[in-house]
Amino acid sequence: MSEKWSISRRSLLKWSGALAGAAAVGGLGAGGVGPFAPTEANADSEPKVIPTGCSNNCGGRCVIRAHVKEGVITRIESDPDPDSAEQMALRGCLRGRSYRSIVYHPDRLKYPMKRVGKRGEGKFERISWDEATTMIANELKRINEKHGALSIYPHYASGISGPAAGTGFIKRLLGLYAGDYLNYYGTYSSGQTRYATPYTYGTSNSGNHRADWVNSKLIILDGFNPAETVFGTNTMYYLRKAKEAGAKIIVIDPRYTDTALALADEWIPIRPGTDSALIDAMAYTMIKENLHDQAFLDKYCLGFDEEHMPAGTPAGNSYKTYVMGQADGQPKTPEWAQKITGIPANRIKALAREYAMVKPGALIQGFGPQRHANGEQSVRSATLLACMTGNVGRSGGHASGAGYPPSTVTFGGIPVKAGTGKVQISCFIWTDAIVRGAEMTAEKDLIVGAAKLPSNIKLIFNLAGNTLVNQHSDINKTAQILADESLCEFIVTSDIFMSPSAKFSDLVLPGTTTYERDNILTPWGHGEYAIYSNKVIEPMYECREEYDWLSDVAEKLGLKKEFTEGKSLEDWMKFCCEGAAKAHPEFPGFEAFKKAGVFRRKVAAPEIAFAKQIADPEKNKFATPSGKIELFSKALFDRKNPQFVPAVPKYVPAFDGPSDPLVEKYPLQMTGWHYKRRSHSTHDNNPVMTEAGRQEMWINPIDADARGIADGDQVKIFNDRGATLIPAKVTTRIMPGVIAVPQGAWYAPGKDGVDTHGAINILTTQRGSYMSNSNPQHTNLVEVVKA
Amino acid sequence: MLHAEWPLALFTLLGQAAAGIYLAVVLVREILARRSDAGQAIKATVLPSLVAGGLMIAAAIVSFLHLGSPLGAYRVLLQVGSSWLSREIAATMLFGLLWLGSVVVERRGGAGLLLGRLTALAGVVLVLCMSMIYQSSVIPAWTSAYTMVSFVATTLVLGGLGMLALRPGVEGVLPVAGWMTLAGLVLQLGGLPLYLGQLAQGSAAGRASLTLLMGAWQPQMWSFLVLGSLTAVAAAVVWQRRVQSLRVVYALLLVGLVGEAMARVIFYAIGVPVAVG
Amino acid sequence: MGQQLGFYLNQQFCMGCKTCAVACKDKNDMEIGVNLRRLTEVSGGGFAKVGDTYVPEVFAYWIGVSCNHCDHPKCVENCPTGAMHKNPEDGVVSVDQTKCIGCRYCTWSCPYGAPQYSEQRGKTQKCDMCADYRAQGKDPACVTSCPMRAIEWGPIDELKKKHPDAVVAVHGLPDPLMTSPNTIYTSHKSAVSGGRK
Repeated sequence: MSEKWSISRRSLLKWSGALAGAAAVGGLGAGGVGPFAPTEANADSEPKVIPTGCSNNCGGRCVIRAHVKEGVITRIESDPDPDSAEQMALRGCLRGRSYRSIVYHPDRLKYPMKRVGKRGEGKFERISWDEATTMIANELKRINEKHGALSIYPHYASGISGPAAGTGFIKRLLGLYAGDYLNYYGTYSSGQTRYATPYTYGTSNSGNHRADWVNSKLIILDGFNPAETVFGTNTMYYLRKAKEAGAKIIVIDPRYTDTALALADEWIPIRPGTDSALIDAMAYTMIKENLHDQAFLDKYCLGFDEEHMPAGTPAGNSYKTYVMGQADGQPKTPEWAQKITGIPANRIKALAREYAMVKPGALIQGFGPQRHANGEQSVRSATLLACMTGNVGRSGGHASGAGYPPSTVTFGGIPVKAGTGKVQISCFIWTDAIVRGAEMTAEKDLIVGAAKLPSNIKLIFNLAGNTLVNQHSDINKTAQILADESLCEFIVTSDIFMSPSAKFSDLVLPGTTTYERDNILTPWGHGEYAIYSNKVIEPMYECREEYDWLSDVAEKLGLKKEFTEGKSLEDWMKFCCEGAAKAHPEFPGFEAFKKAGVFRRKVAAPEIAFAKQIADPEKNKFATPSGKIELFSKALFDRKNPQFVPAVPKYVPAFDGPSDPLVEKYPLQMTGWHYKRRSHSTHDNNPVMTEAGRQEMWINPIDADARGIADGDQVKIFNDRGATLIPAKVTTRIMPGVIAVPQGAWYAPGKDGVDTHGAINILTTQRGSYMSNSNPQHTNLVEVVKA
Repeated sequence: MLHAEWPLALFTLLGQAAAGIYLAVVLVREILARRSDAGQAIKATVLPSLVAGGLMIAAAIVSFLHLGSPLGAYRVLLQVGSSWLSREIAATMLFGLLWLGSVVVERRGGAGLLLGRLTALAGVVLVLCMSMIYQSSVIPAWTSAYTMVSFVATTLVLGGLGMLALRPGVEGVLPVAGWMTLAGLVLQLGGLPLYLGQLAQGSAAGRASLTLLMGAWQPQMWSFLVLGSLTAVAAAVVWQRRVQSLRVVYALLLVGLVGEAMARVIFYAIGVPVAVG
Repeated sequence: MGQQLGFYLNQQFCMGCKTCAVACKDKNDMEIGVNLRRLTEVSGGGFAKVGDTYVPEVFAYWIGVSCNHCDHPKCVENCPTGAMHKNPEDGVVSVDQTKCIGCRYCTWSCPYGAPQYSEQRGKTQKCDMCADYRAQGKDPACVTSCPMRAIEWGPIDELKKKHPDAVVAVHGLPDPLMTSPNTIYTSHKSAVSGGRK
């Protein structure tokens, strides 16, 4: 590793001091060696090996075998089982492997604290748990009475996933106490694709099981980088298997990613946010050369051509009319797309021919292309192309879109009061809802479950999340909104560190790591298993899991019995297993699951999304209003916003995109990416991960030379929203005109308000994406100068 | 590299100064012995002999500071068969023993020149071993023959100037000191262009060393060139004009010493190992 | 000597994720800055301007190295105490912590950076192919950690037989003639020694 990082002597001493109370220390001197805490204690004694799991929100969930001696984790192993024909070992990545230095990090929050300075200033004072829970009960009561239940918002958070996370329990408590709460839909990760994919297929479960990839002859990975995102344990290994089985792999991405270098036969760099233009030109080429599967389109799809439109639709609204230029006079030719995407027209034509003729082919989109102002169109365009090539519902193909598998392992969840949580905002627009929630409507702001919101957000529960400041867009604006204590009146955060989000809270509670609580872990969908994540060590310091202190709050509200039903957290896990037992006859029962640590569902063969619908469309309808694949969506047509929310997939130029006039001022496109060293913002302060990958901006030598920037130089990235300092990696692995900043670094403002740590969201916008009001954090225009 | 290696820089400088001064002692004795007798020769060089031994003892002490686990230092002699570091320490100890022996024998008046000659030889062997440690590394800036050239040069310069400063008035000292200093600096300065050319044409690591030398360490490089040249010229003048002013010979020693120290600092600072990538 | 052990890396599938390096670090309790397994990125090439577009002619790959347990280990030759030694049974090069005095000569002697000096321990650390795991019948930590299943270990002759295409020299590695290493690679397409594609 060329990166040089060191840990100061002082922090090591601090560290060992912090640990002195928690662990027996011996062997190599106080504190042991390195970032991993005291492990030399009684080197001779045999460790206990406890099956647990890694629950970072990367999409995968991995087996961990924690070695414990005298209550201290001494080693982290992953899945010890060998791979077999039936199942792959569930091996953790570098993040999971480095988790010891999170658990024993000197900066762990150790006791409850309340804010004493201005909000966001970072001044806190130690209080007791009793004071803390009393304060929560009182504020809950006050705000519920004053502003109503829908002013209370359990915030989007993914620091701990699974039923043991605080997010489920807070919703349960709010249902019992206030009768309701303000909920959200979508995610920061996949808002656009989860919203848009169902418009085409009626569901987001549009992917074949990964084990089917070996049947593909061609795999096109569009903005898909599982080498770093992980996106399901073993995703890269499945792709390796597909390649070894003969699939050609093409990667479309502005960066020559680690995925591309390990797998790709070809790399096609593309300007961020222009995927729909590429796909339009591919569709144009297929139509011109008659390479598309007209029979498939005729049989299964609505809206491809004028002959297959819903009754009553005015003429000229089909996709073909658009793409051939009959509607707007602009045929979407490869030459047209070349100017937009930066891909030579000939390359586009070749790609179109290849995808149309090499079958079966899987066009697999990651979540990168959809995390844009116009991201829904990229998703819809990709589903259209999968249909045009007849790759839907067949082995080796892929329907594209969100691509979750047709079914997965099912567990029960923490029960909430019936009928609660129905009023929802897009998870991305909560800052807006703090400022002007009471003005928000279903029509204008895509509120779900009510015509309008009754109140602004007044109380936020931020349980194990960093989207309160760091992972939300436009940090300066967010900080300004949160700093106004008259807007949101009370913010509770439970976390393991004083994250940038925790700093903006009124009450900061020390939470537990994944190793200090029982939990059940299921992957996002890519995987046929669940993991029982056993508690490995007792909570450190005064740390408590959310369920534990929420029970105290419930008691103070007179609801303890109703809230807990007398159950411990482990009892709730047992309860969740009842759901698994119902869904999966082969489920071995709670005790056996807990002991083994893994439950693998039995599947006869890899599932193919929409196989039934394709085999017998009359009997098996798609879950769309028409029962067909809707390339034209009447529901979208009825939004009456054809320029930005078209009824058929179109290239809609993005605000802050490459054709925005703002490029005159800010000529570089900036995209984010998920860095191997972090899972979102988790691990940013992990010294082992900092050593594995420094926070850095990628820039092409052409752009760097024009700005006098050399590899390793400290640079300033800025736009009208803010500025951040970061070292530059000058590399040919990114296309000219585009820079990339890995998301998740913790916001650390200097005196001048300039972030000093490469936190991308100092530069991103709070404006939601066109169709779904989702997170467009990859759509940005910036300039870079040497700092 | 430098930060971690300062005890080594000090150790090599002290060790080479000791070996050099003792070499000068023996050379002066050879001259004196031809004119009078061995006893007189030895008497005239007692002080530099003692200083040489003292410097070597200091060097040995400093070398411990380099070790991460000095308690096991005794094991360092175990691999004389293969390790130049073992040989270096063996040579240091041999020098020490011979030096001690010669001091004792000389004190008792049972003087011959043989023990001293052997001691000087051990000193020279020590300098060669020191050099071989670096020459057997994977650091192109060190594996060059120039390492030996410059180590020998430092030995000659510090030996010559040290002897001059300690016994300026003794017969034979001026020519010995003059020859040693000039020979050393001619080797060291004259070999430099060849060395730089070697780095420029070598591996990536060698070029990285050159970049360091021409970049961050350029001021030190110029200091060495200026001080080294100045020392050579001044030594020649002192020798030819038979200058015996203490002020002058001390100043000369100081300038020469700073120049050599500068060269040594650069030596460690630009060490870049061959690496993956 | 018994059978010389070695590593095999399938470099074409190495995605540089550093899981092996971190698994190794955790297993061996290494401090920051001390890495018994390391990954190095090699990249280059450029973009050709074609009309108003740029066409990439870019290469990039990762080289993973721990210790190659060389036939002619310079670190062993140069070690003054005999702490660094080559096991006569299996050819594994390791450093006896009871004998190492922390002189760091070995760190100057290895072109692969295998011996790593630990300030905190005052001694050199290096890969011993997880001798403790092997004694228990387990694989080395890096081998079982790799999400791409790209690392193998075993008698080097067997590995060579199993992977007849594998080579000791990929582009970016030091000259194997220096120490005769016992790690073989299936080259990344851009790392074929003598010419990058």
